[in-house]
Amino acid sequence: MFDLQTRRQFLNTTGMGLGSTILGNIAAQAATPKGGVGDPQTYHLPKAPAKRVIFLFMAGAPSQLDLFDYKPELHKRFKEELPESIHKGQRVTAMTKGRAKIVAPSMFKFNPHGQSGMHLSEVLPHLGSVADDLALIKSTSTTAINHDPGKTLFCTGTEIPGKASMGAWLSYGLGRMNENLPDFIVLNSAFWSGDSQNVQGLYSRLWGSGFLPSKHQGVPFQPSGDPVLFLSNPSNVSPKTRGKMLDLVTKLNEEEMAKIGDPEIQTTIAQQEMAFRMQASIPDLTDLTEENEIINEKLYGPEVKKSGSFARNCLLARRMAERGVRFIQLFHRGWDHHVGLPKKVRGQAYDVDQPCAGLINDLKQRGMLDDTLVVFAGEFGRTTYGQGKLARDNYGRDHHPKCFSTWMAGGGIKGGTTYGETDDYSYNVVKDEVPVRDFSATILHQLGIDHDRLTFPFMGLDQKLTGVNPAKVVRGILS
Amino acid sequence: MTIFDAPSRDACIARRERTNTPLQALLLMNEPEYFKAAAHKAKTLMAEEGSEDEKLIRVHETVTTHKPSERSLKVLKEGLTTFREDGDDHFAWTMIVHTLLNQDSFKNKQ
Repeated sequence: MFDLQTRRQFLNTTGMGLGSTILGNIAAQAATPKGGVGDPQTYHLPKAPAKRVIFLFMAGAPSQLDLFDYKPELHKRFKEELPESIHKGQRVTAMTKGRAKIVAPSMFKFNPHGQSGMHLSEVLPHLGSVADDLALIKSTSTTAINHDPGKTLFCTGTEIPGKASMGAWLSYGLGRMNENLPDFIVLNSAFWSGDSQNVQGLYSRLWGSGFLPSKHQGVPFQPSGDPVLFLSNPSNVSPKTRGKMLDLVTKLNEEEMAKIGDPEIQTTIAQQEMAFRMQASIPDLTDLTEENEIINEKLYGPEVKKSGSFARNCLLARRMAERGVRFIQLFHRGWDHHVGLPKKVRGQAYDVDQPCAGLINDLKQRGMLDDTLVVFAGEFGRTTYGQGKLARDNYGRDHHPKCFSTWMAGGGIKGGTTYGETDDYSYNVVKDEVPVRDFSATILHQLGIDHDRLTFPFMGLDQKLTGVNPAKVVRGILS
Repeated sequence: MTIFDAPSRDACIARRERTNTPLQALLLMNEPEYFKAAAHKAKTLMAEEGSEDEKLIRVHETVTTHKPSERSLKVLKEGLTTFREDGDDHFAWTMIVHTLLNQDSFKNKQ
């Protein structure tokens, strides 16, 4: 770790009047997380059931009502107005503000799965086959009502852009597991089946390092074509010459570092070294010729053959997990179904259902599910009342922050668990609410981190992934 | 520019994200046009008047806006010698310019 700060960081953390001895102290705190295992001040917990995370982020907000939150009684209330006692005049988006709130029951059948009898939508048959590995959280809630702040909150712990993302915190708090690949890799789907007109943007801040040194930021692979560009040296540059060139540029960078002390120069040096190693490690990672195509198609489904598919990215995520990448985050877009939801949700479910189940089964048969935490979440849920045209088999849904469904599997999670309850309309949480900060605290806990103690001083605050409001680990889903 | 996390320009942003990834390092190391630029600069530099030291000082100043320190100059001279083991004179000068174009102080504004 490098005990250096920029001039701006110096001014932010110390104020202008303080002496350099204090700077030394604060800089040391800032650059190195406190304590080792066994230190009572440490953020390390005695146990870490999970070594790594595969976070499957469903951008656009999937409908809990049509996938996970079974409300059979709602059929009797088709086209009824949502009672005031349920919505309580709660803030809604500009899209449905002032309009009547008319109940739109899900058109999909739900079937019980596994020993626990977990009910899942008919569009998720493969996920149903691994229900006994899942902890389904029906009571997730968020404060955000629009996509960008919603995703930013889920990925960085606050709606305000620019804070450190979950993967960056883990890289900072736990260090490297491997020397040849980044700690935190992001894979975005190149295409999806649900909705190609209404596409949500993805921003590098969702995997950014914020106030943490930028070497902890996520490294996004190209969604299609070669996952990493410019891996090969120019034709006349041998690996040996490349090595000499990097030695030379490092000497020059170190001299600059000694002169101005900007820690970003250290990041450049580290990233150039990583780039050199990735020239060998990426071809090994992405070359699928050693994979058994027939088995992979059985596991992940037919889409695994297409570069850029969610299925292919799940397979790549497994290969990254095998190679010691700590945090692998997949983003699958196309879940924002304001109109024509049934057709679109079928398409999206086709994209993710079999790959998710395949990933869980693949990790399990390799003995890796026990220490790999698989997480599935979108930024919020969707309203029980319809948006746009409303028929039994065609409707849309607006954004809904007050309750939505997420799941976790592996990594010390108790499979076959259904956690939390929503009311008859899937509008409010009635039992065991899980705000985003509790969700994040639980992920950190499974990786052996006390979310309250892993902090970084920035703008006068000991910043945490879980923010300033009290957060708690969701013990009810742990094994 | 995607690799440098530049804004997509479909919406206004108040500030650029701060990013520094190995993908950016790879681009500056291996992107063909960027490497060609170094080769071209090396060619014009070789055709210019002056000693080897003068040329090293000049190209350093061209790229970074300031003259190299004594230590940097020594490092660059050693680099030139060792690159000559791997190719002809033009190749060695190309690698020197290429190295300067990969420095942190060249790609980041302080």
